[in-house]
Amino acid sequence: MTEPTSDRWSDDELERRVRGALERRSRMAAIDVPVVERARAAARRRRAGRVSAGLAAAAVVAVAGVAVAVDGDRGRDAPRDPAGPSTTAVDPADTSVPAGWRVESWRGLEVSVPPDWGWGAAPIRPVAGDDLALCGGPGAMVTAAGQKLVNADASLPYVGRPVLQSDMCVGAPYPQPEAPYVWLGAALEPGTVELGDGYVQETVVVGGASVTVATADAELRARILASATETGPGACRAVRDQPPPPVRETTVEGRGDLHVARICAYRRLDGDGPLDLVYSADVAAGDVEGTLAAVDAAPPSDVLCKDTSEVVVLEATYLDPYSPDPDLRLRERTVFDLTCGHVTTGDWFTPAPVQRRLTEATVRPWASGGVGSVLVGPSAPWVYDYFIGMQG
Amino acid sequence: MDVGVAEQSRAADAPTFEEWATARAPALLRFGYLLTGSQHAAEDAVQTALTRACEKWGRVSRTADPDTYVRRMVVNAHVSAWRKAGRRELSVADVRDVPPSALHGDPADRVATDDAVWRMCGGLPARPRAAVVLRYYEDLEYAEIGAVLGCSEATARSYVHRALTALRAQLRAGEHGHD
Repeated sequence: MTEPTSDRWSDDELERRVRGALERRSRMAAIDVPVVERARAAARRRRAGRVSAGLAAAAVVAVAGVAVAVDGDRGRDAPRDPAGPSTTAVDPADTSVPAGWRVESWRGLEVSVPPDWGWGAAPIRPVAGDDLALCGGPGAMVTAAGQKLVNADASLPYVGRPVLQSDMCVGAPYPQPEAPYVWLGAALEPGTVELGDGYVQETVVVGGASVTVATADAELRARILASATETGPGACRAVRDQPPPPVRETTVEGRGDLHVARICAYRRLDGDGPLDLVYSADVAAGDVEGTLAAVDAAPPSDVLCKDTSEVVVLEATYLDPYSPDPDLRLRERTVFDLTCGHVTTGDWFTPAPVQRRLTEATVRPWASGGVGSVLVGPSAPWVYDYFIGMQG
Repeated sequence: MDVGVAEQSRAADAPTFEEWATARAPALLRFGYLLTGSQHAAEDAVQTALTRACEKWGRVSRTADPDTYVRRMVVNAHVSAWRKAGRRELSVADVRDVPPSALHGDPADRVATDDAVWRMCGGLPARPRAAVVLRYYEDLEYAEIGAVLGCSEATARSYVHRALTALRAQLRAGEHGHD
């Protein structure tokens, strides 16, 4: 970064001046501010708010003379019992995440949901400045098993993201929910809305992104909201300016078993803005190997294309049983550019990445689940089997 | 050592949120002030970050470096607030008295440079400004800045380089104005 300069403002001198100026300026900040006490109080209020919201919703259910319980297997509202409230004791203050729940990502936000929830849409503005509308649904557009549905199934609980998933849009007020849902990143104000029939929709903001949960089950709502957190260390990067470079690391002895693998799906949500994380999921070892084999078998691509808007990064790490350091991991990063229609991988022998054509075989192993509800996908006849595809 | 034992041992040694936050709050406020350019916005960003850290302290304290994690929250809180404001609302720098202890060297030269630096910071969008503060106040490497901002090392480097270029132009213009 050193720039030859003939005047007194060399890079070194400028850097020295900036350091000094910032150091002096920082001393102007008032530091005798009780931010720690305020933060503790705010955290207490947020916890109390969640608990009281849970209790209030439970009270509404009791007055209505119906019972709402969580079906342990499906994690959705069970049929209402006309005989009266459930006698099952629930502790609204217990907001721990049950084992087996899966983590859903949106930008820098993570939320845990029951494993059998599908994926669908959250409200968006189909036209800038227009009212919010659901473009896809209400209901799941993709089942928890990964099956893409032609028409949304309103009876399935789902995780919705503010992405256009259909050119058929429904404006508010939306139909009475038939199943719980979570909306990530919808442009809704924080607060609570009674939707009728026992359903309560609550919106909070975590890490600058909104989380909206609607269900008639206060405990379920409290658990999901309490699980919302900012992306932690080791998770997919929330924002990228450009697709990352591919990586393929190995040793002369080879590499050991797969340690962990996941896909990180990105799209430019703001036109020419950065690539935002819209979805992530773990990938099983067999699917990773299937993907890498398909990529290596795909025909080479010499497409010159840099203006991408949708990228999926497959990040895998492997054990290195031959290293004296047991914590050492070998990385494999494969980058799928859905806009440009190619895949790039690292190469063991040369530093230059290898570019291959994006084929159905290269996406089939990992393109299941929620990724099919957030990415438009490539321009290919098979796109609708895995992604949203072009609408209209 | 068994991994589980190591985790327990680390957890037992970890400070409480109160201990950690009390020790770190002054530095975070100074950092927030440089980041936002305003005392009010700095307090908001730091309080938001500390609230989240308090709620998730069990998890945050287990990270290798809680400082980096919370500093990233401060940056995110500010960038997020900046985005929500539609990128229109610029923080107005507080006018505060410079403490006498801060005055060393040639006062006129230093004041002019400090003013140019501060105006340069004030003219930057949230993320490039954060990159400058992280580089020259927190002394982070570009890769670390990229990790905090969620961008590549090259982008972090580019943010800082452009800021320095703008500052150089500003200082030269000031010199020529006095010629």
